[in-house]
Amino acid sequence: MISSLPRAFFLFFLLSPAVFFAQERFTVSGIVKDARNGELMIGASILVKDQPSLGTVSNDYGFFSLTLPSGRYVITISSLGYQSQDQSVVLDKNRTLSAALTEASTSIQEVVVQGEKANRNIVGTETSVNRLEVKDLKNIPVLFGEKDILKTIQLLPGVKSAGEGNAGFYVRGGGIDQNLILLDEATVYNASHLLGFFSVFNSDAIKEVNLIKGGMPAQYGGRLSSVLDIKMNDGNNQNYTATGGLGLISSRLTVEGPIEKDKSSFVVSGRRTYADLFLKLSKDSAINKNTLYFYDLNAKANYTLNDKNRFYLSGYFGRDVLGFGTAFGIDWGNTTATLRWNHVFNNQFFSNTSLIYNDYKYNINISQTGIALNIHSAIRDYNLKEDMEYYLHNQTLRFGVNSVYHNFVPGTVSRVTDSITKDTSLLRKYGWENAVYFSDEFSISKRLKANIGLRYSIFSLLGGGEFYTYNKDGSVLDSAFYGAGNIVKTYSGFEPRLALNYVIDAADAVKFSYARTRQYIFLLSNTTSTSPTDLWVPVSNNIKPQQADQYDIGYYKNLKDNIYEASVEIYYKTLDNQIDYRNGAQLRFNQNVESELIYGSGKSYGVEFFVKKRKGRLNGWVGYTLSRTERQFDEVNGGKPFPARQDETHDLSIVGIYDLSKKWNFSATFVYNTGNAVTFPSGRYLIDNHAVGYYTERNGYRLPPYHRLDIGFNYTAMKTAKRESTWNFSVYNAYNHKNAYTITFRPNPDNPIQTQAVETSLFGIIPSVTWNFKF
Amino acid sequence: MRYKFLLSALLAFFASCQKVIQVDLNSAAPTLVVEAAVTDQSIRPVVKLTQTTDYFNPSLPPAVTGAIVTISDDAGNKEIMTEEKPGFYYANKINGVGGRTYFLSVQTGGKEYTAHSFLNPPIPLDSLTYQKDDSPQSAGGKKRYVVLAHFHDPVGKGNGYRFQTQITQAASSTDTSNAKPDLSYRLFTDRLQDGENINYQIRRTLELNDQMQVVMYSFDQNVYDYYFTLSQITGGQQAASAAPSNPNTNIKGGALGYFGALSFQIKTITIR
Repeated sequence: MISSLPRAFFLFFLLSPAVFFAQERFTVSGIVKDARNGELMIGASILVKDQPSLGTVSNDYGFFSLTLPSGRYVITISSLGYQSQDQSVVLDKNRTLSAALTEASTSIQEVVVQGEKANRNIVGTETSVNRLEVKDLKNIPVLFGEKDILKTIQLLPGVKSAGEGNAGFYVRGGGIDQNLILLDEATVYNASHLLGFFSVFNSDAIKEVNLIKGGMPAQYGGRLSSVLDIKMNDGNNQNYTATGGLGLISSRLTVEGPIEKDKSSFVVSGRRTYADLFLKLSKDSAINKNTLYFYDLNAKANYTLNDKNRFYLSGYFGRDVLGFGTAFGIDWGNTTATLRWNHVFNNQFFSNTSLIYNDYKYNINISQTGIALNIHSAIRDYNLKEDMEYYLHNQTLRFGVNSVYHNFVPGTVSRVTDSITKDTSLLRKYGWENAVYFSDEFSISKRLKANIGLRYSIFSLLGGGEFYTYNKDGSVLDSAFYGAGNIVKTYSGFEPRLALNYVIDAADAVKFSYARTRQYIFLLSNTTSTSPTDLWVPVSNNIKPQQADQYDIGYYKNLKDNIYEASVEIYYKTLDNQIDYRNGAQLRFNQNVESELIYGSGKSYGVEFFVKKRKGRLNGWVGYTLSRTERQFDEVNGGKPFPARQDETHDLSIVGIYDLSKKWNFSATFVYNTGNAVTFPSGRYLIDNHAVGYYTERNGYRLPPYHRLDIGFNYTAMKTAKRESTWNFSVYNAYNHKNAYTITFRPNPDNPIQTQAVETSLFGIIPSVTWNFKF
Repeated sequence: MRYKFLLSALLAFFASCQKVIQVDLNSAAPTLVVEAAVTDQSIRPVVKLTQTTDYFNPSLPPAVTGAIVTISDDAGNKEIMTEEKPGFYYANKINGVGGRTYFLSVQTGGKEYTAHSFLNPPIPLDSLTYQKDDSPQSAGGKKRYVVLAHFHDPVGKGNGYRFQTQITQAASSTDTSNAKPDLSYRLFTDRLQDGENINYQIRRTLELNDQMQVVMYSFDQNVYDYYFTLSQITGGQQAASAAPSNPNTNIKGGALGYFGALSFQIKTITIR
């Protein structure tokens, strides 16, 4: 497969239509913006009127380029929820065109003018992509009324929650660490606040969210299963505005405005929870001395130098703080910073250069009589990324390079015992990850489009220090010393990507995709819930890179003039070099943590059904997934394959939003899924006269099915062009179903030779209210 | 460990709810369970042989009788143990001596199971002290106390410790949980503090005039691994391992349980 692929790739490129110039062609290019606030519009359609097969979409920076034979054209620029715009162009030379679209009024009495071609899901080559606009999120009821991107994507088919109220997620049977989570291109290593009950993404600061579940385009890499690409707002370059919300346990405020009108703008968005203020109300000194909160801050500024150059600077800073009196404290969080430069070489050639920094770290302080401890751990990346897009007639070439320097600090402990300070550090590790890619999106015929791509990734683990090699049973086989910066081990590989789209007509398409993905860094966690202290590790002498191959075929259909979109997708994915843990593995602060790991393979397959109603008084979606996810390790379950924890036979999500009147809207979500695969005892024996469970198979049992209904009401108290005041009332788990979070087994506390099963459920019915404002 | 404590505090904060439920479980084929100990005190080495039962079986597990159980050491002593009551096998000649390795063989049902364990030279439990408890679990207005065990870990990694406690409550004491037997595995390893003076805090809170007896066991790495992996599947470890499995036993041949060579010391303290 690998060896024959570059040749086929080359052949495709040679035969592609760009090579044969029949008629003189010119290019119309430009930028699409939102007229109200100057935000660049991603994914707007730019189509030739009356010739719907000719067209393109704006890129991540609102830029588009369309090359056509010379002539007169009417170009229609449109985007869902905006009034479309027609512009006449005489293509006797290269032209630029800029468009500022006006939001279609959301008032239900008026006829909403829509873009003529809202069928991007049909005509694009991308497969298995879910796109969410943050506007869509605001009406969906969520826990504590805090609208949340990660909670909302868990309502999409193929995406499974890692647990009640948990921001972690599994995509098509992949692990939590196999999702590439990007915030303005910076990697977010831990996307959860408050031990997973909230995500780190403040939706007020977010413009668009793209979830890629399959057919990953060549410009993405580094994770096996999915990409969650989150883009922050650029900031209003027309007016100053402030938006925010006051909620029961958190509040947020966003301020944005022009620095220089039409040229530059900024946005600053902050959020803080105050759950711990309630703790202070407690009279119990054991509770009121505790702290428990998080805050985060998003900031972004952009500057348009001229038509050809534009700069963006964006950043995120978030911290969680938890403390129990003075005895124990932990804080953790992410920092990201992205500097980007958009450059238009000419009207067909667009480039973006990014310099990215991100880090994730935690600190633990323990102070008890006689001993004080401070533990610190971090992962830090420096990233340079260059992406180019070259637009030809009916063809787009994308290519680029990416170089990341990873810095792993697995743990440093400072201990003060009897006034003596003693430091212990686990070996720091460094990794250099590089990738180059090329992809070509073109039309093979009028109906058949292709996007073929190839990515080559290479990762080097760098010294210095003592590096160990372990046996299959975890004992030390060999060790060697490497100087600082010396290469300990290098892995590399090709990652071919292919997407085909056969457009049957304007409303029907069949798509196929194949993607090979490789991953060089992993998250170690052997508990049921994600923890801020879970450890990221790179490939090494012992840990090999993971590789996945995913095949995906889907049928897409739009109904009733694109009011409904529907799809059926079947996927099959294999994963190799998956990681599991020896029994009783010590993952925290263990110099020999790699000796605790075992390696195996996995596979996952399923079918996803999705129907979405995009407009009208009632809108929303229904998603259903039927799937299976298995893992196989020689050391586990007697070597037989077993269902992965995230194996989920049935998964149903229903999201409905209904406009009752101009002032009121009602929303509801319902989820039902098969319970997690779990390990229960199949026998009992006594040790020290206490009952102990006897385990015979991994994940051979199921938790009871999970189901839950959430409802919400939004009341718009006031809305003018500039000001807005809305109330959100939401009820989580409206019929108060006690879903099992865990079922554990233990000796009967009153008679330890006897046993009992204990079910823990987390959230019953939780009402909340939030006031949102804008001025 | 600390994280689990954190998580449980957080779960409590979010008003989680627990209840005892009925679960249908499979019936595994009965498997041999070996619970064997040799100590450095004047207690005869004992081997207890039982079988697994269905998980919710309320009665005592069946004893395995008629097995041939042999104990030996690296000083050349060897003895076939005597079954004095059903499933309990005792040695009458061999007794534990610190610094020796002990070997166990069990023959039953046509199979042989073997194990060995190193008996640590005695590690003294130097003293017990107590201090006022300032941890957040110590709720209520009453003064609470925790006990610290002080000992010196000998140089050389691989020493494991277990602390077993028993509380004799004062007449004025109100904490009912202290009246129950201690089901927790209070374990310590010298993995990060090899060769140091250790002040091990025992996480039980005492009231004024309560008395606590502490048994400190020390043992080799294999026994520590057994206790540690056992502690992960017993005693209400709520956020414990995502995939519970049988403890890492030092017995070869497919039996459950362990063979521990245990050195131990006992001390008692009263809160005044």
